[in-house]
Amino acid sequence: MKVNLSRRRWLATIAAAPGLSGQSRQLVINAHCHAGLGQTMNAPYTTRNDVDVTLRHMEEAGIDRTVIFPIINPTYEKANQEIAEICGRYPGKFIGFAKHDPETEQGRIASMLRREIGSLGLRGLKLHKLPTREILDAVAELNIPILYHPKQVSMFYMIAEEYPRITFIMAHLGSFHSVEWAWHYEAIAIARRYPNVYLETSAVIAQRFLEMAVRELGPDRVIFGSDGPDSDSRLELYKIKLLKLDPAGEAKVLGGNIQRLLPKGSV
Amino acid sequence: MAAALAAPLSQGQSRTLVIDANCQAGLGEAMTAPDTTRAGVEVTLRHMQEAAIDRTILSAATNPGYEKPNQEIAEICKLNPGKFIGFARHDGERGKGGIGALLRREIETLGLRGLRVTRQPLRDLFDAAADLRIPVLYESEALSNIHLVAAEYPKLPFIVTNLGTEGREWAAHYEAIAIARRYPNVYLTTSALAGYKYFEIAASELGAEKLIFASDGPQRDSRVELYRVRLLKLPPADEAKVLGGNIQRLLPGGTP
Repeated sequence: MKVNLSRRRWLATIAAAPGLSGQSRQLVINAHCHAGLGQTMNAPYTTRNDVDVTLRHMEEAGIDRTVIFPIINPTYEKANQEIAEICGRYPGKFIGFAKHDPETEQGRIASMLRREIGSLGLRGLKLHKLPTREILDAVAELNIPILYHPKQVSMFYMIAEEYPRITFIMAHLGSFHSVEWAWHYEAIAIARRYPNVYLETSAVIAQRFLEMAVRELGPDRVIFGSDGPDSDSRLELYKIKLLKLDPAGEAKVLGGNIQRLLPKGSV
Repeated sequence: MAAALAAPLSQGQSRTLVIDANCQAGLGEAMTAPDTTRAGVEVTLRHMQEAAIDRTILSAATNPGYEKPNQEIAEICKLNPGKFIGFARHDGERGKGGIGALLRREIETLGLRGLRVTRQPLRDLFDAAADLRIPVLYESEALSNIHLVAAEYPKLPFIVTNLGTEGREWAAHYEAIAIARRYPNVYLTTSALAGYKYFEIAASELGAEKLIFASDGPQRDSRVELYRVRLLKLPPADEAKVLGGNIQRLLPGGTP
């Protein structure tokens, strides 16, 4: 069913004004998207992620906000600055996350994060490598969520247990492209064990694991993301629609959960 | 022939059937992964109904050998008339010695309509496929093999699955597009993990005639894969080619 885009835009502008129409609509928030340039150009995901594509797909799919963060870089201070600038250039569209590398930036992360969250207006942290205590102590102090694409799902047994007050969002239901399909089972088990772990939906190929996650954990623990712009956010959103959740449950997955987990004023 | 086989609309207009050109079915022997354990037909049927997919090409789940699984595919097709088109599956690595003769029997007596080949390209298999004039769904171990087989068998249609790679080897998508451009008898299926841009590049550089909708289900969701094609926003005639017209043209005798 096609939705008239100008009507959708109009709806989005009144979404934050409860009482105007008697009901407020939950914003659709894509919790996982890359933006900006990479230094080492040896793959699409280390070269460039085009904001214009993200904006176009947001418009087409009716996505109100997108969490953006850098692609792979050797270090991230400059890349995080770029994220903040992109957010500033497109008010009301993006929520910026910082990204850091616990190895290449060891010893400097806490001070960088404090500045990025405190002054640049970034709202969370994206990780590709296992966080060290240096990172997690800073995250706990700043009270921001972490979106973590783990090399091994089993790492969550340690970090989620050691830092029960940190919100960990496990990207890709634990396995990018469902390559390690058994990790989807493990991800669901981990989210069941640790209330501070949520599962993000991007790039999950085996749709039945998305169905399993919402069925076994409930819609409160599952968070829509795309891993865009390379992974098509219009398609990723469609996968959530295919779950045929009741409206309240779908609203949680599509935006309510991540909105609740973000610092106040992020959206 | 194609027009006669098209399902008529209520207004008396005919439309091209939507055909999922690559889906698995049946049981696997070595239960080490979902695709070597069971590919349930019920899921495929349910998704076909939801997504309005008219026909699905089925081939066997991964097995050590395929004589018995191919018979199972033929049985599944018979049990679900008007839903499935069966392809024989063979593994170029394991299927040596007499595999061509087996394929001829499968096509001539079981009613199977094409060949799905994994791993290495065997001359015995392709000689048989060429004689039988059936299309080949090809999941090669090495994309570069296509250069050899497409040139050796210029009249045999090779349908390369997953836009060239089922993994995240993004460069293989570019390579597959280049190969499909070079060889008129090479086509690419749309089921892939590719980012949006590789589909757009394939559609604009190759044209709709070279792309064939497939899900690689049921591990992958045919409803999602169909939506992926719709997102290309091709003109209706081109979309109809991708969604069913192209594969229908390559099948012997049109669709059942």
